[in-house]
Formats: sequence, structure tokens, C-alpha cells
Amino acid sequence: MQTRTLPALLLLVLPLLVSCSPSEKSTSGGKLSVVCTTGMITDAARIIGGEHVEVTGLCGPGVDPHLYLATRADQKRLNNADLVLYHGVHLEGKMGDLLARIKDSPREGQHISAVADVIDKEKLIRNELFGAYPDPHLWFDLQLWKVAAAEAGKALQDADPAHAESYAAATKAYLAKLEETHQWALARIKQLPAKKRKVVTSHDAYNYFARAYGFEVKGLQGISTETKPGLQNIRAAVKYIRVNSISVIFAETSVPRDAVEKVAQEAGCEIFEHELYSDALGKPGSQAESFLGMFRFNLETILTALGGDKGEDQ
Amino acid sequence: MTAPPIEIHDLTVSYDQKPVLWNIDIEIPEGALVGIIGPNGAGKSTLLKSVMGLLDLSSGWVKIYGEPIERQRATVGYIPQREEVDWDFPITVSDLVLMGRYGHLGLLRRPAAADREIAAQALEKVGMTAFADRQISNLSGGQQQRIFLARALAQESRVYLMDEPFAGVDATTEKTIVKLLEQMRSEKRTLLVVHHDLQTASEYFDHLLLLNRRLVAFGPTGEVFTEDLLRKTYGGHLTVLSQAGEAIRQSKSGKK
Amino acid sequence: MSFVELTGEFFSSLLGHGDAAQATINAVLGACLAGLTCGVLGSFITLRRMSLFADMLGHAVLPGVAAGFIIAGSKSTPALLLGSLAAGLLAALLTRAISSHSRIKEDASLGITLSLFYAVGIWLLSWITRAGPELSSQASGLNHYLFGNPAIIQVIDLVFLASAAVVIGAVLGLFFKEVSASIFDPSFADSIGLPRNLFDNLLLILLTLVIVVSLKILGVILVAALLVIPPATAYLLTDKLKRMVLLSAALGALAGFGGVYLDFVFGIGVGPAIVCLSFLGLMGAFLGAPHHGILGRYLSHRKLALKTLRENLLTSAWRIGERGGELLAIPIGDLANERGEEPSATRLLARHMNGSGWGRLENDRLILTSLGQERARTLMRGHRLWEIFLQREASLAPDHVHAGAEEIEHFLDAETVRELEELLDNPETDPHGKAIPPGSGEGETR
Repeated sequence: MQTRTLPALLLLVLPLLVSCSPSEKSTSGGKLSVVCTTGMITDAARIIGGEHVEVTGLCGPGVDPHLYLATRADQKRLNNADLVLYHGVHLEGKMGDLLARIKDSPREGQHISAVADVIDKEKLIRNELFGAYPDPHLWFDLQLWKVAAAEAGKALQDADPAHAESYAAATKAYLAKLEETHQWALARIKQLPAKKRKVVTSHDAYNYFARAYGFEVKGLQGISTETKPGLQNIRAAVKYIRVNSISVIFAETSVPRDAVEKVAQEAGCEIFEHELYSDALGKPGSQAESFLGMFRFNLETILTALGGDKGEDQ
Repeated sequence: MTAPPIEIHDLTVSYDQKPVLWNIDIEIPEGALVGIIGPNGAGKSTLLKSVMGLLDLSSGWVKIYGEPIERQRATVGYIPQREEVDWDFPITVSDLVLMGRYGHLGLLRRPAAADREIAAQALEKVGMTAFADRQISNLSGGQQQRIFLARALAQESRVYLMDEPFAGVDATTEKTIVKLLEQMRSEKRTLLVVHHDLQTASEYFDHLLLLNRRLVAFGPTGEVFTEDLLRKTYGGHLTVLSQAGEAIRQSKSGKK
Repeated sequence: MSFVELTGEFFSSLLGHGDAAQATINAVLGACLAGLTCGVLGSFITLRRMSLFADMLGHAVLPGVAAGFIIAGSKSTPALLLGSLAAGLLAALLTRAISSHSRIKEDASLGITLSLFYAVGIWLLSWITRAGPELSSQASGLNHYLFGNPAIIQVIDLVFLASAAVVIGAVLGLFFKEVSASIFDPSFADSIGLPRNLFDNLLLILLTLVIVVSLKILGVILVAALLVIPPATAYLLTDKLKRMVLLSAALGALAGFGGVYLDFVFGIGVGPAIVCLSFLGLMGAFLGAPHHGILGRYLSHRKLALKTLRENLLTSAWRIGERGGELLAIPIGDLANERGEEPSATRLLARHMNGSGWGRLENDRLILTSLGQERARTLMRGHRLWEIFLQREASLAPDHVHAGAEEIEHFLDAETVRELEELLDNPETDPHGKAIPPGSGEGETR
């Protein structure tokens, strides 16, 4: 070929090559690349996806998803991912615009799913206190989380039909585990007298937990950690503790302790030695590094602190 | 043999590498009431500021009673041209005059009753006692000039440098200032005053310093206030020249 | 709960009763102390035109907070305080260095430093969230550090604040005259050998200190507000520096107290409440301050108008008296003729004489007191002397001088009249041939 025609040919061929971008799989060792926001979703994606996926979670242990701001690197990861899984229901307060943009116009071949959005709106907790948005902390009601997990499984199947069977089976197994834990929780809680089932924590993350498992919860701050607890919040919490003769309250891992410490000081009660997990999972190597581990840890912690006996491990 | 109140040796001052004053050599005798005259840009204000140590000298030195100015702060009082102050500052006339005592107090000491007395007397000398509690912006130009003068008096310095104290003041103020200068001279204080008006210069001062970036002449008024020297000082400023001629004629004819 | 009941609870909390009483007490103490300290220091800062430094420093401490956290490995209060202090001082230094070693002016220099330091702070904070779980899990709330929360302050925070307050108060009290002289008249300060730069830098250091200890309690924006608004308010209310400082302190403390109260009762947030209260105070002064407020100036303008009106009646009365009319009790009709008005109009004006001490309206006559007569005489004297002055010195024709004299007669004080007498060689008749009333210098301003 003459030297002039070769570059011309390349120029013609190049666009064709580029446009044949990988439709379903990227080149992360042939695995589906999945980027998730919260630790709970990351955990579910890993379990369901197994060896077929490469999962990256943006919000690590102890990181608050209400406040998390995506960095440039995060944005790149999101843009390059084959599948983006996020929570929705306005949990990721500061990433809202970014996620909406990806949802409206995903890259070709990219899939994105807000796993909690599919939950029946009727089942969400609303309250004038929360303002326009419902409470997003629904993972603490395992019945609801099953729906989200199923949605995550479905998203994986859509994104990677080649391994759909594997995903479907893994989803089924995971849902079964969730159900099992749910029943276990219901049984364990019966061992704590009703009048002791009062949990005071940093923010309103446990309303679903309370509704599903028969507790009363009082958060110091509202459902988002963006606002700070003021005098009225502190006083209300102290009053609640006094009126209900509560002797132990809880701090959370991803939220500053100082407000809870103040309340404990004022109310003359203690803060339990173990912090609860609310919006994030635990460090690798801890019991709470998986979602189910975290759930059990929370429940055990609450029950131990409030005076229930330790039941049999499952 | 005591050192003279002000001794200036080979003084040169530059702004932006351009000399504004050069090779000034003067010895001011004690108790002299000296008027500094010269055209605009002659460096008159600059000379005062250099003596006060407010400007860097390119060469030469200044001694106050044989010592550098840094050691003689309490001995020298300086009254600059008026504008540099924040007139809306919450300070009354009496507080401003009291500031004159700060040099004597040093750090940490508060003004005592004696200091307030001195300040009050200074205010009296300039005829502004009635205004003691007024905020300084509620005054006319002449009144403002007088209170700065009072502050300087309160300093009880032996040497005073004044930059155009008569500029833009009313007749009453001018008379007050002249009387004050006389009184200070009789107290054996040495006064170095930048002045703008030729006619009154020959009346008010017993010594004149003719300046135009270089020292043209310094000496008793009678000797120095000549047409020849004035022409040298004012160079090509013709209108001033004729003023000068008129001034000389008038002073010679004895009209006050 | 009604707001009355809540108010009751607020005050009983201050006495130690009720839920979270200590938290309320701490919040009040913190807010008041911070308000007071900011008020005191802010007076000097605003007079020295350094207010923008406050805003810059509030933001520039962020990298110090982050660095302190990284080094200490936790949100230990001393570490964060030291870090913010170091960052603040560095920022102040940099700002001064930029503007003194280049053409760049101070306001631009402030903007540069603020942006630079804040950016480094944000960068450090985001590095922390990625620095591994030990550090990132401790870091929650670090980015809130600039925003403060009086509801959860601990005694240690109050101790730091109180210590800073004592230091600031002591320094400013001891060096009051030096600092005020440096601000008011820098060249005078130089001429008496005051180390002016030292005091300038001292102010900057104290500013950094107050910001650093107040951050946790009030947050950046609030500190900047308290350093400016109460001093500005006090500035409008007094002409003496000492009073301005005290007033500013009181206003700051009051705003702090009020802010906590409003948060307690209405839950609106201490920060915004304090700023809004301070601003209301400022508006009050802006409108109503006796000398410097709009209402005050309006009222003194009205006062002047009234005085002028009364004096015009007096001079009209005098002229009638000169022509042989009754001076002590002038019929309104005569007065109206003299002034070229309708009697009804004159009657209305004459009513204003009541309560002046110069005369009153009685039985449709204007009755003058001896004081009123004196004042009339003085006014006429001034008026006619001025006419002569205008004629002689300004070469105005005799029929041109009356209007000018008419206006100025109200403002000729005793000193000026004496000057005129001297200047004009004590004349006895005015340009119109009328006698000039002999002087006595009584019956002045009303």
C-alpha cells in the first residue's frame, strides 16, 4: 500500500473500532465492573455477584453517605462502571445531581439502578419532621431490604445476562439468609421486656428497625446528619431518657459522638461501650464488615445494653 | 558647650531614587523661631519628616541636642499637615490633646491627674476649652488645627517641628497660633515651621530657612530675606517673585 | 408548649433546674463570653479597618484543623486549637507579606490567602476520608468544625474561651492608649516612638486567637459577624472610644444571650439568631441613635428649624419695637403685617414660641420675656454687623445684604460677633441707617 492510503484507511477504520465499545463487559479481567455507593449495597453486590463481578464501594466503613461528596476519581469510576448501584430515596444527599445525571443519560451499555426506589412508597416512613422526603434508612427492616437486594440481583442479571443464572441463584440464597435473620431477630427481641425496648442514638436512622422489630427509638438529630442538634434536640432527648428511665444510650460509628456525650452527661446515663452502625458497615475484619454481620451486631449490642440475655448464636 | 537643638549634616533624601533634598547642612540655635520657605516641591515637608526620623536618609545624619532622634522622642514634637487622621474616630478634643502626654508615659502607665491638668492647660492656651467634649469632626478647620497644636503643647517638648500650621486657617486661629509661637519662643523652645506665605514669613519668624531641594540660605530674617536670595530660592516662579518683591517692599516700609 | 412556658423553662434552666440545664448554661456562657470578647476586640478591629481579616482567618484555619487532627490522630481539642492557631497566624503573615512586597493591595491579598488556605483545608479533609479506616472513622464531624454548635460545648471549651478573653482583655486594657493611638494617628504614634507595627501585629494575633477559641462555639460566619456588627452599632451610639468598647461588649453579650434564648424557645439555631439580633440592634442605632442615626439627625434638624422659626419671630418683633410699637406684647395683626403674612398663619407660628423661654402666645398677642428681648437684640446686632461686613468686605450693594444677613444671623456665635466688631471698628449704624443694638452677649442658643 502506498503511504498515503494507510493513514487514510486508519482514519476511516478508527471510528468504527471505537464505536464498537464493549457493550456488556469491560476489561476488568473479564468481570463486570460494579460501582456501589453505600456499604450495604456493596456487600449485597459482592455476595450476589460472586466471582463474576469486580465491586467497588464509594462509602467505606465509617463514612456517612448523607454527606459524602464524590471526588474526581469517584466520578471516573462511576462513569466507567458497567453497573452503578445506589440507594436512592435521597440517602446520598450530596451526590444526588451526579447520580441523576448518570441515570438520565448513561454511557452506552452502562446500567444503573436505585435499588431502594422500587420499594412500595406506601411502606416508607414519612413524617412532617423529615420534610419532603421519606426516611431512607430502610435497610434496617430486613423485609424491605429483601426487595432492594432482589432489585440489585435483577440489575446484575440485566447488566450481565451471560451469568444471569448464577446471579439469580445467588439472589435467592441471599434473600433466604435475610429472611432467616429477620425471623431470628423477631425471636430474640421477645426476650427483652417491652418497656426496656427504648433506644436513644445520634440520629434518626432506626425508625424502620423500630417499626419492624417493636422498638421505640429516639434520634438526637433528624434523619440527615447535615443539620446539627440544638438545645431543643438535647433537651428533648434528656427528657425522653428521664421519662422512660433509660440508663443506657448509644453512639453511632459514622456520626460525631459529641452530641450524644452531651446528652449522656446531662441525663446522667451512660453511653454503651460499643457503637451502633447506622449508615455504614464496619472495618474489614470486624463482625460488621458484612451487612448481615452488621445487623446482628447491632441487635446483639442493643439487647445486651438494654438488659436482654445473650441468646444462642445462629 | 551644649549641643544645638537641631543639627543636620549632609542630609540627602530620595524618593524612588530621585533626590528630593540634598547636602543639607544646618545648625539651628536654641530658642529660634525658624520659618522654612520655598516653592512647591522644595522638600520642606520632607525636611521635617527626615528630622523626625520618619524617612530613610540616603546620606547624612540629624542630631537633636547631640543625640539621634530615636533617643530624643520626648524632646521633639511634630505637627504634620492636617489630613492624615480618621475624623470619624470616636475621640473627643480633650482625649486627643491628652495623647500628647503618651510620649512621657511610656508603655503601661495611665495618664494621671497631672497629665490631664497639663492637657487642659494646653487646650486653654489655644482657646478651645469650650470644645473639650466635642468629637473631633464637629470642628472647623482652624479649630482642628488648634487642637493639634494643643496636643503638641501638651507634649512639653523643647523642639517643635510644624508643617504649615497656618494653611487654610481663619483669622482668629492665625492670631492664636502666632501668639502661641511667641510664647513658646519666650520659653526658650526651638521652633521649625514650614510656611507658605512670604509676606507674613518676614513678620512671624526671627530666622528663615530658604529651601529649594538644597539649602539656599539660613540665618536671621533681616539678613536672609533679600530679593537676591529669594530669587535664588524661587527660581523661575515669576508670580511668586513679584509677591516676594512686594513683600520686601512692605517689610522695608514697616507696614505690619 | 407555649412560648411563655418555654421562657420560664429557659430561665429555670439557667438556675440549674430542668432537663439539660447544664447544656443551656454552657451555651449561654459560651455565647455571651464569645460575644463580649468579639465585641471588645472587634471595636479595635473595625476602627483599624481589619474586619476582612476576620473572615479570612475564619476560613484559613481549616487546614490547621485538619493538620492537627492528622498529627494527633483524633479530634483532641488542644491539637485542633493549636493547629488552627498555627494556620491562622501563617495566613495572617502571608497576607501581610503579599501586600507589603508587591503592588497587590490588602483586599486582594486577603482573597488570595483565604482561597489558598481553605482549598488546602478541603483537600486535607478529603485526603482524610480516604486515609484508611483508623483515621477516617474518627474524622466524622471534622468538616463541621468551622460551623460550631453552642448546644454541645463542654467545660474545656469554655475554659479556653475564658482564658482567651482574659488575655485579650488584659492586653487591650494595658495597652489601650498605645493601640488607640496607633489606629487613630499612625504618624503621631511614629513621631513619639510608639512601636506601631508591633501593636498592629498584636491586634492580628489577638484576632486569630479569638477566632480559634470561638469557632467551636459559634462557627466562622458568626464570629466574623460578632466582630463587626456590635462594634458598628456601638460606633453609631457614642463618640468616646472607651464607651464604644464597653457598649460593643455589652451588645455582643446580649446578642449571645438572646440567640441562645431564641434557639431554646423556637429552635431556630443559635447562630442565625445571634446574627439577626445583632443586626436588629444595628438597625435600631442606624435609625434612632441621637447624633448619628437617621431619626436623631432628623430630630436635630427639626430642632434647628424650630429655633430658626422662633428667632425670626423675635427679629420681626424687634423691628416693630424699633418703630415705636409695643415690644413686650405685640398684637398678632401687627406681627402679621410686619412679616407680610395672613394673621392666621402668624398665629400658628406664634404658638411655637410657647415653651421656648423667650415668649408665648397670649390673648392673641406675642408676649416676650426679658430673655426673649435679649435674644432679639443679639440677633439684630449680629444681623446688622453682618450687613456692614458684606457691604464693606464683599462690596455688596446695601439692598443686597439683607437676605444674606437674614440667613446667617442664626448662626453667628459670640466669638464671631466679637470678631466682626473688631474687624469693622464697632460701627453704630447699619447700611440702612438703622441703629445697631449695643452688645451684651446674652440670650444665646435655645
